[in-house]
Amino acid sequence: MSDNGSPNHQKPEDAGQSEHLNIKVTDNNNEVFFKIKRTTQLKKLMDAFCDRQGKNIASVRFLFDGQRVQPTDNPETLDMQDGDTLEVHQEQIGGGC
Amino acid sequence: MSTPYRPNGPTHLRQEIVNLLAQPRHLLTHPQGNMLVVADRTHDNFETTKWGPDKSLQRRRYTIDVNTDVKWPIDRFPPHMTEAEIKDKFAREARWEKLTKENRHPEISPPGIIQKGKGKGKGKGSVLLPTPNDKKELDRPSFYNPDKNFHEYVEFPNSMIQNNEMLEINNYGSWYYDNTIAVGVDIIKNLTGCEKHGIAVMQPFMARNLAILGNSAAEDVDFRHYRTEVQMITAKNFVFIPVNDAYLQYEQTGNSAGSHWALVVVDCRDSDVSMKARYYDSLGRYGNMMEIAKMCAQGVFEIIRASSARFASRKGPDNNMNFEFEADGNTPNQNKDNVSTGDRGACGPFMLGLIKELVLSIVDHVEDYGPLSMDKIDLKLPPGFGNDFGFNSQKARWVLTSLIAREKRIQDLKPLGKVLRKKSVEPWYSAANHPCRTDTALEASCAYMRSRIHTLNVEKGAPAVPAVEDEDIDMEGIL
Repeated sequence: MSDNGSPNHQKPEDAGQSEHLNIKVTDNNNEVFFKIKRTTQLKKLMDAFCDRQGKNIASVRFLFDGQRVQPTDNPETLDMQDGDTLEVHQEQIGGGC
Repeated sequence: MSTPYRPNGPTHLRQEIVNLLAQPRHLLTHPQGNMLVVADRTHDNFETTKWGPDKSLQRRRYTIDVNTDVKWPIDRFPPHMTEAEIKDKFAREARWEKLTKENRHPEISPPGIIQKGKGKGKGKGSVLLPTPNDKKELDRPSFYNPDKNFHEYVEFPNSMIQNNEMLEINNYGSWYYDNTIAVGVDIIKNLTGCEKHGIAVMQPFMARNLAILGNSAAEDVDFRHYRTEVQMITAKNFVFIPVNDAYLQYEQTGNSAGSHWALVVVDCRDSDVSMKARYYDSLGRYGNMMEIAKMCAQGVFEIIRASSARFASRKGPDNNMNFEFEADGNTPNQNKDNVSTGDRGACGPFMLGLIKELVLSIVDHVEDYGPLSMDKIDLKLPPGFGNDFGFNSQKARWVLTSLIAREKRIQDLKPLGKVLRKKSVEPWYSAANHPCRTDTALEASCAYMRSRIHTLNVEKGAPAVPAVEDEDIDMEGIL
């Protein structure tokens, strides 16, 4: 009985430690640190970054490990670790003329 | 016996079944009121039910039910039917009867007997018939005319494109966004399989990172910030980089979208001794594009130099690498050498077309003559190439549009409908990621980069992150 009981006591502690993640969002000029839940949609983080930096969310791209991040993604689905970085890139366009 | 259900289908087949029904004794599967006719063709109307696809009908792909409106008592059902199945059948029949005549589809019969198996005799277990793939109604017209908004149109492994950008691709004279270029690059990579032949085609955001790296005056660069680029470039023979003039302006003003696309190809075949970069601009030398292209090539140069075992082991004045940069004068002009006259702003299609042409020429050469003949490949375009190339930007726009729409169709047909994301990225210094030059030199360079990263981690420690708790998201920690 006691063997079965001890892991049950440890689980909530482990889950509590890893519930929040520290994520750095950078566009190479500015760096913003966020602390978010693993299950929080990254849309919140994107909106917060764009509001703070005065950018239009439609004109920026968020990338994690070279892959585009969707607003509906969350740290858990992207397998993000504590201290990971989200890159922000301004949209580019070209035609020449 | 009431009027049997007549399946939808060609007239001759329907007549054949009606004829068969005229001899019910030969077709009776059970001696009671309900009757089952087993057909050897699919039930071809299950997609068009008024209430959406009926999975039970899909499952009975090779059967056609005949209803006689006579309910079977439970004790007279076929032996292979379980009690749950019989109850389910009655429930579905009850639902059917509740429907008004107007709501009933004329071509669909009420739910009949669930024939699950081939075995009709005693002791035969029910064997499931082969289940057809889930079919889905495709909204084909919307593939080429999606709603004009910023929603995702389709996602590729390393890129995605929005509806508004998809609408622009085929417009005469429209400019290309970085997403369009990224999707085009992904398509070229998938179609040519170029990565297996030592060719890396970078995405536009990687090009920007390379420009930042190449422009950086810092001596001790933290390569952790460039691990995607390092992973792509290490052990490659050619690196293709789409360059936009926004990179330098963005660094200076903090906000720029750019106005032109050009291509730079870095030749890393002799990267232990020298590196060559070749610049292809469809407008000659547009603005400060060449300067930015040089910065991108310099970024590749820095990564190669940092990951080279030779430069890691040798110190002093010999620790230098020759770096050549040259603009190709025979690059076709997007206005003069364009079959589709008047398509202003075609640098995007031109650049993608040139990437495809150069990548295919390398891949074909390696496949024809083997990897040892790689030294004979010359990236210099021959005189008169613009004429021979015969580039048609309008056709290129259409080809790109149709290929992206095709990918959308493929993904929409899949039950999941989405490209599966990679759960985690392999360490970029893993030799398994580099199929081209997995030799001892590469192993040594990987070991060097591993040790370097470890040193950087120890020296710099974890980034300073404010530890402030909040329910969902914490904005207090803004630096």
